[in-house]
Amino acid sequence: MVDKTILTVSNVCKQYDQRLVLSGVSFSASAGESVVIAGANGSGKSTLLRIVCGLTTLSSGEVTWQTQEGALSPTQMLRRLGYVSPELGLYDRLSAFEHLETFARLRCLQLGPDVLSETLRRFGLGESMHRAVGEFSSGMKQRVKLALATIHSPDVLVLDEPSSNLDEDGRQLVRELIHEVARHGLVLLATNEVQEVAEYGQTVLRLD
Amino acid sequence: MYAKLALGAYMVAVIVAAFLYAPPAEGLGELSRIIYFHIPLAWVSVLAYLVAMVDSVRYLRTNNLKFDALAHASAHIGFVFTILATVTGAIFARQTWGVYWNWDPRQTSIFLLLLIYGAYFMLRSSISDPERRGRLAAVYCMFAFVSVPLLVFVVPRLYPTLHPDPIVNAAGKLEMNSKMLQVFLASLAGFSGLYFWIYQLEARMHRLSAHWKGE
Amino acid sequence: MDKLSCVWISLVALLRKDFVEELRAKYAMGSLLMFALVTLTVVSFAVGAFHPDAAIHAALLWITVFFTGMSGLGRGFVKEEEARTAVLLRLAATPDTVFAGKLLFNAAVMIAVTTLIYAMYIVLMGISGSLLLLYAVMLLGTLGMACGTTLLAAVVAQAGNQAMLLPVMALPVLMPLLMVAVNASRIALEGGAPGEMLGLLAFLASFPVVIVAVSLLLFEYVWHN
Repeated sequence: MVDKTILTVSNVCKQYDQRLVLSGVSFSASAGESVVIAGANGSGKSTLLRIVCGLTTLSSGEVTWQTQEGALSPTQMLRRLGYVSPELGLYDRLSAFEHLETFARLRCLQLGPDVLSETLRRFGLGESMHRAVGEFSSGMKQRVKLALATIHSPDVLVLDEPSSNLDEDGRQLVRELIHEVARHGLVLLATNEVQEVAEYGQTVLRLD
Repeated sequence: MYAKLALGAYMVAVIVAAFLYAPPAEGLGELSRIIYFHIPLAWVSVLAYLVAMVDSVRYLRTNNLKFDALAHASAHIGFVFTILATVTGAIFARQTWGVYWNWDPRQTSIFLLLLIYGAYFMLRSSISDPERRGRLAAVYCMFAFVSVPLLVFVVPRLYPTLHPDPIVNAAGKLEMNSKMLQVFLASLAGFSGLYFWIYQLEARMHRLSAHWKGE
Repeated sequence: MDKLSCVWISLVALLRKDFVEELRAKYAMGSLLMFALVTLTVVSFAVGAFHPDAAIHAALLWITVFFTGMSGLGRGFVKEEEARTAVLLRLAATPDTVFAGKLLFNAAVMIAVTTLIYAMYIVLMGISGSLLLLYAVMLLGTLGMACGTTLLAAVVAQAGNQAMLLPVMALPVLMPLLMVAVNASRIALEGGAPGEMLGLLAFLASFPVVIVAVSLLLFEYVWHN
């Protein structure tokens, strides 16, 4: 039994029809670390993150998570981690507050309205938390996704282009979230921004 | 190679025996010879589906695309056999009951199998990701089969008046003498052998194409 | 907090979200009811001045219910996949909760649609017989339809949501149910008593149980990629 989370990815391949998206990717990372996955568009960064979270099946290879509760498959890990990606959507007709409320309850967290409002204020959505998300700008939607991904204080944070569409305040928020989790947990980050690679990349994995 | 030739010779013998060796059944006359083809075809339709289900279970357990390919191959063969069984059944029905189609439980169940096979192929053709296609097709293969026992065993008992039992039984409980039974069982074995031969060919084709791609 | 009340809390949250969304998208539910109305109108003027017997009425009624159901039952999962919110649910809720939530939502939709079709059919076609018994048969039958279609709706949503796929895939599964429901409706329209179709009613009541049990076993494979 280990007391900190370790992710092991060995020889992972993913094939769509005839196109090989990932061929033989291997790496490992453990809690207290932040891993930056870099690479050109179409190099398979997002696919790799989805495979690690158990959101996409792999064609061959293996992904395992060593946690305090023993070895878990990516699918078992799915509900324990926080995941933000441009591929996530939101419910256009619900407000930011309703989003947070619904997902807190889906995770069976007992959070009162004041806690939820406080969280949303922290994410810079204090003014507009009762407006429908469909009217939000892409930056505001990104903030909602970040709030949803961290509401259960996960030990593992998987971020796919987290700073896209965000202003300077938003980027600062992402920075805080990453540092917070990386202190005790594991952060996986896919990005193309040189500045972010330099800032968070204790370990840099290049997919080319 | 020799197995293939032996199977071919055996099937020829069965066909000849079905026309020349077996005597015509009382009441049905020469028409009764269709049972040496119709019933084995229907049997293989179900057998192929059961094999596809077993392969589907194995795919879901192992995530090995080989089993998905086998399930697909078995369904392909089964589909052809089901079409032939439906057509021969309709001809049989026309001669015994006067109509090609009357929703008798047996006709309903073979037609249901035809619909399931059709839906299975339609589902497969609409998904491009191989793992996802395998997973969803395997689930559908198992899920759809639930209705077959319900339709064959449960539903007919609920309203016996709707299906003219005496007529069905006249064709169904065919009195077979020993010569007829010999040919019937030989034909059942022959058609099953034919199925497994094609299935085994498909498996080899898959193995070779996987090898070709360098997997 | 014990596990059971956790399941309950998340199930209620999921259902509440679905209903709130549905109420705010006024046209979604409305378009389904309009579809039912249009189908009934076609049936009504096609029959015109003829007086079909109970068997024909039962057939027309279930054709209407089947196709209306097929056009509405897929939406629960399709809208989640299309809005790309299905991933959010995968990240937060257990597969069983998602299945139960969508099943209950589908059942509610079908009850609303069936009630409308039932009422409109009586008004437009002037049918008689054991009408209350007919309503009970229709409710049981459509409940079975909702149960048998929920897993398939999840499959179709992941298969790129071709409109034709759901009815094609659902008919084989629902065929035993439809055969029994049509016959039970015919008996009810002929003025029969419940005692004359105990077997049929027992089948209609047990079909959802069987199909939901099988669905729960398989849903995890559909839901997780």
